[in-house]
Amino acid sequence: MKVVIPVEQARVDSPISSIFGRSPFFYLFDSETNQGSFLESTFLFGQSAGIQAAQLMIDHGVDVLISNRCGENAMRLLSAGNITVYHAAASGAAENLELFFAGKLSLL
Amino acid sequence: MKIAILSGKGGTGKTFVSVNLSYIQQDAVYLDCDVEVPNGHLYLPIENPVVEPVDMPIPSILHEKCSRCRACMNFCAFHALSFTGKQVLLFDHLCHNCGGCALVCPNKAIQEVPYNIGSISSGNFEHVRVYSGSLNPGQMQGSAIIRRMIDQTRHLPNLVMDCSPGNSCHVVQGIVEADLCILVAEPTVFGVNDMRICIDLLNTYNKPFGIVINKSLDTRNYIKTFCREHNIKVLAEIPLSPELARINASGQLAAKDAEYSRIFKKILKNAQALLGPRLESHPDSVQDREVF
Repeated sequence: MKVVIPVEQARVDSPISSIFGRSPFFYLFDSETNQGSFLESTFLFGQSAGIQAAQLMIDHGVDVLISNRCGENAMRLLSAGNITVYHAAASGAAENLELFFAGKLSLL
Repeated sequence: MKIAILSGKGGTGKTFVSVNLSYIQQDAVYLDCDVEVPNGHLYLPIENPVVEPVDMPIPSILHEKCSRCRACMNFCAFHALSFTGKQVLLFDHLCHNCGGCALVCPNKAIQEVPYNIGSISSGNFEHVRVYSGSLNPGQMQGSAIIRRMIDQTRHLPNLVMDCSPGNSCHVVQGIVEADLCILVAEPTVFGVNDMRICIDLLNTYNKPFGIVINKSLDTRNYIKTFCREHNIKVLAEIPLSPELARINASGQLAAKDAEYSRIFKKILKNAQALLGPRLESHPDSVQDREVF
């Protein structure tokens, strides 16, 4: 399973970004390989950033997104791409990942 | 004379000036170009308006013909087309109706279909011909409605285009069509700031313009000071007056009052005077003009 968390910096202990589409980096964690990597946003300041971020998730085969906030357009595309969105409960990326795998996050 | 009535800031009195300026002319056409919140009809109500729907072409995807090559979504500058992993998904409200996606599709899997974005009401109020554009809530392509209204009235000599506040694409539609622009400003610090941004826009288009100071005061009149310092023509001042506010708030036309109609006649006369010598200047001399 591939889980993504939008983050402020390209570090595992980075704080989570407040808005999905306007996040500078995305932490992509693959539970099958237990490997993490970072994707950098190329659309941070452009129009329709949420849609482009959602497209990036779909193109990387993401299954789950953990975020604080997600716009209407991005949400529509994520749902159409069968990506489940959970509400972040902690301020850091690593804590949210732990909470998710412990089944302690609710749907956004 | 085709006049675009503008303001940087909202609530300075664009509609107030526009409807009254239309009313004092015998053959004026009033265009409500503030299609997101048209309100000119409150002052110039049309009896039995003709309502024409405004449809724009948007893509319709024939999924069985689609090879998922993404040519359409890579072409779309507005990200109106996305790919869900299975099929192309259209965000219809983001489409700018350019038709490019249908042209680049190698499989002819995109057809253009009409999509209603709003309507134009037209008719007469007394001697004033009135057009009022209205954009459906949630839609973003108001410029298309404004262009449609202007296309229908371009051949008429005297247009008063009541534009939206700010400096958006909607405002530009009116500016490019105008012989002259009138900026309605209120004499506050905020009013000066937003007027300056609008002046920058007008200079980009090299359009002649003058200022109407609405709710004008004798003291701390920041607009007056600014115009004096930058050598900008003030066409008229409309005093801050409880009586004018009452007339306007009750939906009446101030220009029906002989005394107040003089203000609007003065605006028109000074605007015409401003336009005279400007017509001789070279239209491409953008660099010659001061940009703030």
